[in-house]
Amino acid sequence: MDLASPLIAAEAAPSPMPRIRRASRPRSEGRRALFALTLFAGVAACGGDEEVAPPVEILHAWTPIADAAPAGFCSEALAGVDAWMAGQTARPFEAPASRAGNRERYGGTAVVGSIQELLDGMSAFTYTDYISNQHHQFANLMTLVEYDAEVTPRPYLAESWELSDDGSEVTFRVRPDVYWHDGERTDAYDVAFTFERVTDAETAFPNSTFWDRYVRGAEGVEVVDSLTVRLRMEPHAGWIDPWRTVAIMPEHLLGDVAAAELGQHPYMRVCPVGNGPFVFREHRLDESWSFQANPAFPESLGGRPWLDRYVFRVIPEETTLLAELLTGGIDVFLKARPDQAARIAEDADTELVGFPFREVNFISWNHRRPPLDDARVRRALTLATDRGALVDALLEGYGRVANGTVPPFHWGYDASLEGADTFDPDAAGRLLDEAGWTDRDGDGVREGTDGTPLEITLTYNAGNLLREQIAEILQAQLAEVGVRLTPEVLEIPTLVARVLDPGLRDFDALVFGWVTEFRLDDRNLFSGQRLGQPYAFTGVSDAEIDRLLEGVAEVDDRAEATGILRSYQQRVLEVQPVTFLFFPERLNGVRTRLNGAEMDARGDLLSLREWWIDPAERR
Amino acid sequence: MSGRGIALLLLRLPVTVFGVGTLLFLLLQLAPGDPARLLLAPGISEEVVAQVRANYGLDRPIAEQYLRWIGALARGDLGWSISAGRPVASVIAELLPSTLLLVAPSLLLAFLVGTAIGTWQGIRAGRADDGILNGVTLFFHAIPSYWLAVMLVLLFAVQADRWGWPIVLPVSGTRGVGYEDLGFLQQFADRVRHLLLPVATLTLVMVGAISRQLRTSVAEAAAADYVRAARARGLSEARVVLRHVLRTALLPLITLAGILLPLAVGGAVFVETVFAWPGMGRALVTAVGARDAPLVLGIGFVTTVVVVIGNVAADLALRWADPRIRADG
Repeated sequence: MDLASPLIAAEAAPSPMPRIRRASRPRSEGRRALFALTLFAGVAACGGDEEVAPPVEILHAWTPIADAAPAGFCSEALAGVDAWMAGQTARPFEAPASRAGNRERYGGTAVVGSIQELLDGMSAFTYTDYISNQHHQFANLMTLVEYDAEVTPRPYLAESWELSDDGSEVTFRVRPDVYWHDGERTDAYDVAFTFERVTDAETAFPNSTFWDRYVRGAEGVEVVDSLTVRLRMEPHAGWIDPWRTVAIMPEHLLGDVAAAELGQHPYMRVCPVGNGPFVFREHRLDESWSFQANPAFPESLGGRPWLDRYVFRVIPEETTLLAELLTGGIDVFLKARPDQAARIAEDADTELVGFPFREVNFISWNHRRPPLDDARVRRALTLATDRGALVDALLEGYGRVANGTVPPFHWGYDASLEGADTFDPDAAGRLLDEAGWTDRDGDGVREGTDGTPLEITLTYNAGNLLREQIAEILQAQLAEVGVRLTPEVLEIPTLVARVLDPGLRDFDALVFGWVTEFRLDDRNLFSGQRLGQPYAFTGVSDAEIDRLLEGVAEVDDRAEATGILRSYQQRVLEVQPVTFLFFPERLNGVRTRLNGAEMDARGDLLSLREWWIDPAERR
Repeated sequence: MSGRGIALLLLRLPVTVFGVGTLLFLLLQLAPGDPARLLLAPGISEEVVAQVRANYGLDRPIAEQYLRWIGALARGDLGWSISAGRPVASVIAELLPSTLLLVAPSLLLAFLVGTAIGTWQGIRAGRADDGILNGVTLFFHAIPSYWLAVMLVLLFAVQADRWGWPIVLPVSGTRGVGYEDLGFLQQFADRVRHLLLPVATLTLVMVGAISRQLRTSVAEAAAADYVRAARARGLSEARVVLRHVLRTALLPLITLAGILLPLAVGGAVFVETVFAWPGMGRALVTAVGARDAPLVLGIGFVTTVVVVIGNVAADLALRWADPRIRADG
């Protein structure tokens, strides 16, 4: 028998996707060693090939949920789930052959805590919230493809796909053994329905740039047979990336709903019927979402998850989240603050899981307002900012200085730019002198030739401690070179109205965080062709940047795209539309009893269906 | 009290509700921010923003939106919550019981404990134990509920766990994981365990206000001529306090109860936040941040109804309990 369990194999295998675990885990390591020894002893005692399955207590029953649902759509939809799950759990549970050797891993409940509710529920049509989307991808629904550690697509709901030679058509073959949780088979009609709705303007799918080069609506999709669907598009880069994040939705339940009403449909937050590894059980508003393992999840994808139940809890106060993690109330604390990291790492029962994420923080300068329209001034402001000190002071070292939007783990990242524009207040002073800003009256603040003081208002949103601290530190750092920076805090709706409304753009500078997809597309941020779009708040308009951004969007060949991306990063650094600050690591606290929790830039719940808890440590 | 007086009091209800609703609606329109634009996704375009606005009817003139809201309200429809993604009535139906479960026992306990402490202090005004209780109640009255809640979390969960106390109290939510698998008594115990810390926090911060109010009125009543006369008649001290002192001194508490009652439906934002208690207060804050006008108006509507009912009830109770008010008409 092979003693290399999937857990041990996964930990031993080197992964190109960076994961950083920082924690002393004496108890956990001890437990794992003991577990391995027990397994070895058990197998040795059996002798030869004969296996004795250890007693396993798993939840293989379904308590009906339809009765508690609102009458109408939800009670009918969930009645279908009750009927199907009753049938699935009526048969004795049999672990797939690939998991039979680890039967003791089946069972238990894992609880994840987050500061925020799943704002979009299970709506793949209207999602903007990252954590909601994680639940689409890894818990309740399924995407056509998923990424491996090399960020290369691999089959998930689609068992295969084929791109036409000219790149204008892609044909997906849907896996035949995936069922909606009410028993309907997931098929090509579901894919076609999802595509038609997300490309329909009336749905108001937020990431509309995903479909810029797809042929929208019914003309862009053809159901070849019940499991084969073909999509049409102009050849472009990253065409497959949307299918990693946009989950397929059930046509048989939502096909009659008008596109404009999809976002408001009760399916999304009250009674979702998914097809993923976990079946929806209950949503308690502002409190929790509960899911139960799907016994019919395809064996080729590992079959039923190890866990019996998965619970997502909303805990809107970070101190309480930390308390729940430390006392075992939750198993995962999503997005801990850097100042909480040490407490998590030092506890014997918890570990800190940190990994580079797809977020970059920067100061956006409003190019429409002098002197911020002068690239020399913008560069001087960058040189006067000690970004390394910010990483140390604010992120406690959990992050790295940024010089662009391309994250360091991405294949297109230009490492040669590391160290560019490092803290140099003298050079900043010389650049400001050159731009005509000198301290003419000796009051410590530079003035222009007409006597106007160099004053900038730096805006940030209320309730964001990190941005508040950035503004305060920058105020002190820029004062050293004679720039008077005044922090201004605004409530989010007010800030959004003043900054994102293309008709207003009422700000000097803004502390902002930008989260990229794996398919990099900064056109909404930096393209001079899109100045009328909400996120073009810098107002930068540079023909070379525009050309390179279009190239990034068009070229699908990775080698060629790498060259364009590097040129793009260099050009952005020359133009300095913003002062890039840092890429913060995403920090999660995890109880050591939870095994198999792999997390990286692909997602916190990436390996949810592989999570397991030792029987002795279950609730 | 005459039937006409009661009718006038009850007439307050629709007039106040209508006035507050209109004012809330107008204030929300004046606040900067657009719910559609708050979708805050990097790929969002002006076209998508416009479509979302149309889907939620936010592109209509303000007067039309107002008339639609009033019309729907008359039909018992509170509208659709953008932030919660479900009908406002369903949000309130789900959260109101949680809020009542948290605030009602807190209010009851606060009045019982506050009355006991305030009475004790009033009778023993100026003595050492009055001074000590004064300090303690002033402390809990003065500290922010948010801070007290966090301290209780750290003490009864984190430190209790670290020090190996036999009981580590749950610090968030209304019930534990696996609640549905428990028997009735276990479910009851689980609910009580989850209620302990949030109820303790709310009770402690309210006890100060009640006891200090009562201390003053008891002390005043205890020094009144009719109380001295009662004592001179040889009545026992307990009888004097219960029949003569408290009967007068408790009157201000009726007014205070009318003022605190809206808390029972409006929720306690900070306590709900720290203890992750799903309630009306948290929902209201979220709704304001999301410029979710229907939910703000819905919660405002329910709260206003209870405020008015509470005040009318307090007025009626005062008239019943205090002959002087009855005499004044």
